[in-house]
This record gives sequence, structure tokens and C-alpha cells, in this order.
Amino acid sequence: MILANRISKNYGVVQALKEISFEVPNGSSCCLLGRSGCGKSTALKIAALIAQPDSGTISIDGVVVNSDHGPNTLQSGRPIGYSFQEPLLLPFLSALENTILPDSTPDSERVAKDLLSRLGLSERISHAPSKLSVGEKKRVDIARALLSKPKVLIADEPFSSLDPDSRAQVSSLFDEFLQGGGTLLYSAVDRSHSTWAKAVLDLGYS
Amino acid sequence: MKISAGVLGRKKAFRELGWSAIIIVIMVAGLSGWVVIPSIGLSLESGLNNYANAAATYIVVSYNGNPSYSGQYLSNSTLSRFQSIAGVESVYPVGINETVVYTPGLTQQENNITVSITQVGYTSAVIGGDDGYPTQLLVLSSGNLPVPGSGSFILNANQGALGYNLSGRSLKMQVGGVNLTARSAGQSQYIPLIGNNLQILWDRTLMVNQLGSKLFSQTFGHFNFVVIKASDVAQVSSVAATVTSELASGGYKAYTVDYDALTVQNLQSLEAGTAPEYVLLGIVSLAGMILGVIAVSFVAVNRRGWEAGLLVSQGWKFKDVLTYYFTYFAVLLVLSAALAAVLSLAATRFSTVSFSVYGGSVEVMPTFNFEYLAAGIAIMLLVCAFVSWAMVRKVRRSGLDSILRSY
Repeated sequence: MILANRISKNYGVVQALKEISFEVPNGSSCCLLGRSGCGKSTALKIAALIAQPDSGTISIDGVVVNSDHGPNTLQSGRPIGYSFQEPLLLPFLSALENTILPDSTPDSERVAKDLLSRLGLSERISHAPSKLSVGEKKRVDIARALLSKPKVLIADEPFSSLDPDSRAQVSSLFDEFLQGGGTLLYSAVDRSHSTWAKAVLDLGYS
Repeated sequence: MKISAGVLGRKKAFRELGWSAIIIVIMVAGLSGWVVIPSIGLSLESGLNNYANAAATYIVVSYNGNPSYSGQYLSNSTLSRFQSIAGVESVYPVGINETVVYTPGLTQQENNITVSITQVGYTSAVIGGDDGYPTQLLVLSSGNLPVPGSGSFILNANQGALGYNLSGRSLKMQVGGVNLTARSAGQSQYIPLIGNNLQILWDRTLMVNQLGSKLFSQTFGHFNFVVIKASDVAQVSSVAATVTSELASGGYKAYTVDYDALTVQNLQSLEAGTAPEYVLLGIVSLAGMILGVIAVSFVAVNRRGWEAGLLVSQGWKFKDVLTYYFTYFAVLLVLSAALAAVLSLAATRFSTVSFSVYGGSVEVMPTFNFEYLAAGIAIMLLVCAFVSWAMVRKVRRSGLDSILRSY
């Protein structure tokens, strides 16, 4: 379960988040909905331990994790998958190699190929990121976030830049992830992308 | 397939060829400079030292006029005083007389008039014995020593007077008023200081047979040339000054003292200045390489600082990120070291340095110095480790969010 309690975050004089609270039970999904710049990505980064809140706490399965330095917590083996808003892929690695970055176990290549195949990228696994479209990069990034079978998956606008077929492929993988007991927190700008979630937290439209 | 930190570093090095090439060029330039420049300095010093020990430790006392009419031979007591001078290792007194070579066909231009030269006088001595040219100083550069009794001699000069070729031909000659026919059996290693004063070396038995004992003694039995060997180059100038002083006090006005002052001066100057300057230049070259590599590495890595952030966000440990960067730079360093070794080897093999000595110049081929290459690689490994550490430190201090926002 993810529990955010009165989280605030400023970037200089810009207030990105002001005392936001939300809860995502295990096996459930929550969408942070809002226009650009409303703080969705900041909230997700804090939940993913990439950014530190100025105040408030974030707990995963009852453990307050933001008291530690984010990266240290990430490295402690706590399985959090994170998909970036703009897919970050190492340009000198292929799509497959980028996908297996978080988990280099012998089985990871098979799992990665399976994930990429289910996302419609079986013909693209050996391609460098420079040869992929934005939507394809996005799907590689999502596959990488799912590779190590995390308990918590945090995805920043996972459905943007995707065509309907690709959205359906991603939705299918997310459904499977939730059925396996995973917890999903994601963001969306488009309201139609939020209908899929069990809970929606509106950060910027209401 | 496994993407470990080492594998990732290797892939980055071999797949981002543009940046890898820039870093390699800087590393190769610095490493090569660091290896080649001091090697030239050391080779120059070593070559000059070798030459100096072989040639520049000699001091010669020679008679100024025609050796056939030497009016004042050096006495045994004078020679004894030479031997007792501090810094003198050996004294080799020699009796020199003139050998006349008949030179049919030799001409010379004088005021636009062609003049026939029928004979040329050469300074000569016999090899060995108490009054002959010391065998210790005779090193052949070609041919053989004369077979005792045969009509042959050793040419001790670079070439004959007036460019007349004395080698490989039967020559009509005259020594002590006696005519004979002879040919050169070989040529000694040319030491300008000695060769300019003593050009032909005869086989002693031949001369005794040709001249007879009495005439031989009159011709070659008086000392009018001395080779003095100083214990080391540093002693040469002081020994020469003392010998000059001894000659002046003995009234030997027709004798002069010569030594290879140019080589001595060059050697002292090299030891005091030039060789250390080469090492200094090498250090400057290495320092330039270190700064260049640090600067380019930081640019190359900083322009995608988010890479480190991405790896940490995917659960990589900081030590794995450190290994990743270090492997990347180490691969480039290995490639650079191999290229630098080849380039340095070629540079040292196909280049020569020369220095001026008495009567000419001596060329030295620089030697490739593996110690410098090994030291350069070790230093660069430390630089690579530093750059890698600095990059990881930056990620830790800036925080993941800040690093990832640089994307």
C-alpha cells in the first residue's frame, strides 16, 4: 500500500505540491489527474523516492521511506518500478538491453523479450533508441519498469504518446500486474486515461 | 545477456565512438608526449655520455710543425710528470714521423689554375711497443689489422688529405727516406681528435724490416705525440690545463694541447640543463593530458549526467555506477595506451637526434622507454578513477531528481 500524508514540495519559489494526501491499497490503482504543471510528476517522483518532499511522509506497506535518502532506499531492494514521463533510455543500448537494465538475472532476457513482445515491439528489440518512435520508447520504458516484477509500479503519463492499440497493450499488462497483487500509481492529463483506474485524484481540473 | 557495470562501460566506450575518439586522441597525444620527449632527452644524454667516455676523455699533445723535423722531442721525465697529474688514467707517448704518399693523378685548383699534386705527407706511427700507437686505442671500423711483415697499414683518419682515396689500392710510399709499396688493410674507428693528428698506422715489423733498426729508431723512436686519457670527462679540462702548464715550464713551445672541449661542454650543458628540460617537457605533456582528459571526460559524462541517475533509479548501487564509469575510461585508456605505444615506438625508431662534437656530429637513435609508458598508464588509471569518483559524488550530492531533470 502507498500512503502519502500531507506532502508538500517547492522548487525555489514555485510551489509544486501543497499538503497532498492519498492512499493506494495493494492490488489497486490510482490516477493522479491534472493539467501540465499541477504537480503530478512531483508527487510520483516523491512516491518513487526519486525526489524528497519538503514536508509530509510517504509510506509503502506501512514503512515510512522518505526519512531515508531516496537512492539508498531504492538500492535497499525495495521493488519499485518507475516509468518516466519522457522515456529515459541509454542511447548506446538496444531496446532489449535498456529493458534489462534493472535486473540482470539470467531469466531477465526471456522476461524482457516477452514484455516487449506483448507491447508490440518484438521486431524492435535490437534497435537503438534513436531508431525508435516516441511511443515505442515509451513502451520500452514501461517494459523496463515491469521487468523486475515490482510490488509498486509508478508511471508518469504512461498512456500519452501511445496509439489506441498500444494503450490497450499497456492496459493489459497493468491489469495483469494488479491481478498479481501489485499497486499502481500513475498520472494522466487526459481524463479518458483516468477512467481505467479504480481511484482518481484530481490535482488540477476541479 | 547480462548488463553488468563492466559490460555497460565497455558498450559505452565502443558504441559512442565520437566521444571515445576525442578522449582517446587526447590520451594518446599526452601519453606519447610523455614517453617520447623524455626518451629523447635520456637518449641524448646517454649517447653523449657513451661518446664522451669513448672519445672525449682523451687529451692529445701534438707537435705543431713537420714531424720529420721535430727539433724538440718530449723527454721521459716530462712524460712521467704527465702521468702523475691528478685525474690522469693513462699516458700513451708515440713517435710520429711523416709518410709520403705518391699521388699520381691528384690535382688541385689554385686561382683557377689546375695544379698537379704529386705527393702528400701524412702523419704516421707504428702500432704497439713502447713508442708506437697504443693497441688499447685501436678499434677497427672496417678491414683487418696488418699481417706482420705484409705491406699494409691502418688508415686512422676519416679520409686522405685533399680527399685522396687511400683505401683499397696499392700505393707507392716513402717512410724515413725508404720507398715501399703498401695498401691499407683496414680503417680504425674515427676519433677526430686523434685521427687529425695521426693518419697512418704502420705494422711495426714491416717498418723494422724496411728501415732497419737504426733508421727505425731515428724515425719513430722519439716521442713527439702523446695521448693522455683522463679518468673521466669532468677531469679533462683541468688535466689539459696542467699539461699545458707542464709544457710551458719545460720550454716545449712547439707543442699544443687539444681535447674535445665541445663534447665536454655539451655534456656538462646537457647534464645541467637540456636533459632535465626534456623530462620537464614530458611532465608538462602528461599534465596537459591529465587536464585535457579530465575536462573532456567531464564534458562527455556531464552532458548526459542523467545516465547515472537513471541507473540509480533502476536500483543500481553507487559502487556499480562507479564501476561503470571506471570501466568506460579504463577501456579508452587501454586503447590509448596501445596506440601510444605504437606511435611512441615508431617515433623513437624513425627519429634521430644529433649533437656536435670535435670535428663533426654524433647521431643517436632514441630508445623507447617502457617505464615511462607504464608510469603514464598508472597515472591515467588514477585520473580515470578520480573522474569516475567525481561523477558519482556529483550524483550523490545533487540528488536523483536534480540529475534526472538534466535530461
